[in-house]
Amino acid sequence: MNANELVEVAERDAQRFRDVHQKIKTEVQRFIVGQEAVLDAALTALFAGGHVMLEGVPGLGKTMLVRSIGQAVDVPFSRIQFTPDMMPADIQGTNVLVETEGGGHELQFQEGPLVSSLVLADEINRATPRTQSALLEAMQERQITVGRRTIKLAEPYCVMATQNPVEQEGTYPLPEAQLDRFLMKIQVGYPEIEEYEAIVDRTTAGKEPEIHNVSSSTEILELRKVVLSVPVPQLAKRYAIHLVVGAQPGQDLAPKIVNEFVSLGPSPRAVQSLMLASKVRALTQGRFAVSTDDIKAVAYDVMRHRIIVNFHGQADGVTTDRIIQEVLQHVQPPVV
Amino acid sequence: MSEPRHTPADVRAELQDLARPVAEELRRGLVQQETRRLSGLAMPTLAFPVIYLALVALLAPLGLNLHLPWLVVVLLTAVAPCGRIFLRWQEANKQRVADAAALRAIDRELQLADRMATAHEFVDVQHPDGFQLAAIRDAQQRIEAARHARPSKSAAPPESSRMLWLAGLAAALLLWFASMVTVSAPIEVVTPSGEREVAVVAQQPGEKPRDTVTQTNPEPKQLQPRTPRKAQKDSDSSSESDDETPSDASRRGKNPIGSGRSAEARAAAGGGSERGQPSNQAQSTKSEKTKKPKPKKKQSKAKKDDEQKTDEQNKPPQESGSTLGRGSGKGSSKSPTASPWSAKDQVTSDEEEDPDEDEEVDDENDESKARGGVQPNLRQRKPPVNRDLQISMGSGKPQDDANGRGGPGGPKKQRGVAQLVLGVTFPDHISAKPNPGMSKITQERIEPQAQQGDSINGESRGARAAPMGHLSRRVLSPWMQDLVRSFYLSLREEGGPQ
Repeated sequence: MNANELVEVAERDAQRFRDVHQKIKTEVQRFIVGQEAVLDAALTALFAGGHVMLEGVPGLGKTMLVRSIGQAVDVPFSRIQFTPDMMPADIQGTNVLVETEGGGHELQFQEGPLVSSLVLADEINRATPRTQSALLEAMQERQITVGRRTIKLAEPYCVMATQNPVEQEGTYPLPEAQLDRFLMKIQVGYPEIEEYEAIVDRTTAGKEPEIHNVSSSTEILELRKVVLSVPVPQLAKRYAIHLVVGAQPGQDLAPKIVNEFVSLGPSPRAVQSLMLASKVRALTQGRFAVSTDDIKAVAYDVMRHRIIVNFHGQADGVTTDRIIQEVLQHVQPPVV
Repeated sequence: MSEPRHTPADVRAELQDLARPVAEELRRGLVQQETRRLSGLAMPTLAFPVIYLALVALLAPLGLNLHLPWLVVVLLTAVAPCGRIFLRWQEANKQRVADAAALRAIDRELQLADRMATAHEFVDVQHPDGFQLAAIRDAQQRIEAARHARPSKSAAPPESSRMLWLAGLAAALLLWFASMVTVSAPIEVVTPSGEREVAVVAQQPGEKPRDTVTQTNPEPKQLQPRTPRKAQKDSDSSSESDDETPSDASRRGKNPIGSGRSAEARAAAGGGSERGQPSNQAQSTKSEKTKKPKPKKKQSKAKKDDEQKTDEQNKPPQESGSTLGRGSGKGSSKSPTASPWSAKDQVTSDEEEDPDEDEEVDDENDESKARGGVQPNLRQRKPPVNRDLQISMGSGKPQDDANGRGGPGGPKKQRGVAQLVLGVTFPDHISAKPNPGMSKITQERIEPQAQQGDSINGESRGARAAPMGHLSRRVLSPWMQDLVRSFYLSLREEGGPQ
């Protein structure tokens, strides 16, 4: 394949990605009003092969958004409403006693809702750490182990979890190890004032818009390969590394606020996540390589849940977003 | 789909052509910015003033005067910062802005999202994949547009460095201080006992260094005859003159009486000569030591010195060596004997009518200090202060002059009962909240003892005589209200209480 053909293939793949991305987005936006940034971030996680955490107060359409994406993309979709009394077997599956045709009984494995492609883990922080940890293997290894049975989860596999930041009574905040497994943490805010009217019209008129399948799991998998083939120049790579290192306390690149208020900085997994999310963004922006602008754009969503503010920072009301903002101002793209 | 028009090598050349002028512009901007940076010039500005002041301070005791013209001083002060700017300019000139940096500047300026810089990197890849080639082509399509747009020069305005201003001010102050430093030339004087003393005479920067006076052969000690009081006073005033110059000293060195003696040595000699008289030597030496330079006094004494010089020229020398080294002449005239301070009132002389009264007061203070402490000045004729130290506790203000000092104001007197009393009164009562202290609980082992208590007989309370007043109605739930209502209705039906 000569250079021209290579370019043609790349341009075609990039164009296809943009088309599919736009189709899914348009389909979901038939039901979800506004929240474009949230939708973009959720689709970024879907195409980058990661998981996403949606955080927002009740009533903002988090669950509806994930369900709409599941309907727009023709993939197996399951929803788990986490409660404090939920056990790992409830989400992974368990052996149940079933009656056979001959009148006998046998133990048969009944898969839980975790065995799916798009899993909506609603109010994930209401589950006990035991149940939350059952998600770890599924999210990272893409498999679940129950007893001696190990089930490989079908690709694409994406966990979209929601949690309420306000109602903390009777909840179990996710440990850092599990938070790190989410590619992005998206903060869902209130819609704009102009969007309320459309929300009322669409949800209270008695006729909810129907969401059609505009993509498939096979297509998503193909487009994930396209995403992985987006090159990252040295400049963007170093910038992403510097950003992550700059958010770690005690580093030379770290600004004062990091050394003062951060107890735990982002791990190297944050660099991987920055790269993957930036690749998706580069494609959606019509470019063929990652730029520092892409890294800046996804830095908040990717690093937000990977920075742990210390007690002093919490007392002073320092948020992770403010820390990331300071890091972005402090760390400039290096000259290669 | 358009065909790629150029190979990566061609794109590289195009990118380099695009980057070169921008890199040159950026380099010029860097040079300009570096030379305009003022923040690092503060210390070099201070370099020469500090060195100059240090040299002046070091050379002054040696009698060397490092006095430079102001023009030279300013030029030398400006050499260090100017040199620093030159070095910066040289360093900045040596810097080369890389093509990648120039292309990044173009990307930033034209908001190309690193397309040029990325393409510049990808053209060097040996086997580029489809996306890299596509990125190169993407950048190539924007090269032409970027050619016409140049990143704005980053010619930053000169920063306002507060440190530089402060350093300039400090430099000016240091230079001024260095120019004001008086150079002191040492004068070696050999005492009659053979000891060498060094007398330091103040010298202005413009003056030439003075010659030191060295006498190696001290004259034999002579007994000085008693001199009249007036002549003694004159000689004292002439000897204690602050404006005494080495020429005076040398002239005195030629004088057969008291020649080659230091002031103290002469004073000692004078003290020794006045045997049989109450000595005021301690007084005079003390007044010498505690003497403070006063311009007005100096002027008057300088006039007197001139008059004395003319008298000395007219008259033969009558002054004794013992009086040469004495201190205040006025003090000695007012207290010819070692009488206590109370004798001052008896002294009446023409000088009391001197309009320069404050001088006398100063001299009296010196005298009183010379007697070993501050003495009450009775010449002021002020009524004695109240010595009552009692503090009016809350009833009113304490008496202002009730300090127990026995004299009006000033430091505590050293005489009488007053010296036993504290000068500063301490109130013996402080209005404050007393410290409750640590609570302490002690338990005593005491056997419980039965005690007889008064029995109270129960009695009927009786009906309330007065009205109860307003009673708030308790809010009942509807079902309770119905229940109560039906209860009373049933009672009424049964003929119960109405």
